Amino acid sequence: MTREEFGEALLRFGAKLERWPRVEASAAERLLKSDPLAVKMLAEFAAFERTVSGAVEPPPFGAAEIGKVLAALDRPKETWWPAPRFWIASAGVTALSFAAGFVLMLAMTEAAHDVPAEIIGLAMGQADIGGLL
Amino acid sequence: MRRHGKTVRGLAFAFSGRAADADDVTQEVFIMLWRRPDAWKPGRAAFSTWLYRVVANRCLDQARRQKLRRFLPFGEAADPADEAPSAYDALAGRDALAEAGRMIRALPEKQRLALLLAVQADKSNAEIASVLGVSEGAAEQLLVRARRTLRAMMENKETAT
Repeated sequence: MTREEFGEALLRFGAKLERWPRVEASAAERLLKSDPLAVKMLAEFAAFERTVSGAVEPPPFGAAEIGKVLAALDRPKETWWPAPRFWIASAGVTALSFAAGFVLMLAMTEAAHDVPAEIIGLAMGQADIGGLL
Repeated sequence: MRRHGKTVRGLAFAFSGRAADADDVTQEVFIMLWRRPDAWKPGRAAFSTWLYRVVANRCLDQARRQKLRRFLPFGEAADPADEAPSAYDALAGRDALAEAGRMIRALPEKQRLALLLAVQADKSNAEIASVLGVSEGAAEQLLVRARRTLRAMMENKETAT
């Protein structure tokens, strides 16, 4: 194993040689016996891993945290997505609006034969209403 | 909960850096376990591997939701990470560890999870692959990229100071 290969293997398997595959671990041990620079590389990588490990040390999990979970068990599920009844109500209002529009359209087209043009004009907002008021 | 609580919350906290997010993930995981005790099938994966998979998926879901919220016009800005001191911080230079934590959280999500599983959970590459649902080679590549990026960041920081 060369130094470069050793460096690459450190990135793949970490600094604990006992966690490496057997073949790579044996080759690394032979390199470490003969190359002081490889020993330094291993020490530096182990220090790097200790820093990472220290930075992600899990916080304690005690009675307070257990209490939060137990309290959450009794709470209804919170979500930023609206509840299903919101979607059902929205769909209902939309369907009613379409139905009302359709009925109004039918009524107006059927009634258009009987209604004077002035009234239709008034409904359309285009008539002179001065005479009516 | 006593046995696995530290594992679950520890991974979630290291992933997000925010205690509130870690609490949310922890609650979601334990509520799921409470309501669906048969979710884990003994024949498939070890319980701890399966549990880590659940936590990892919840962390990724939460990160996705937060990205979506920030993208939406009425979305809120992301909360800054908590600077909660750990027992180790007091012994080994709190600032350096806090800085390392920030660098870890700057890694892409899957790389971050792979690294946390290796370092915090002491999982082997094969176990990490199983947790993340990828091949062992892909898990190794995630670890290589995460470690390489993190070392470069730390070295840059050292030379800058």
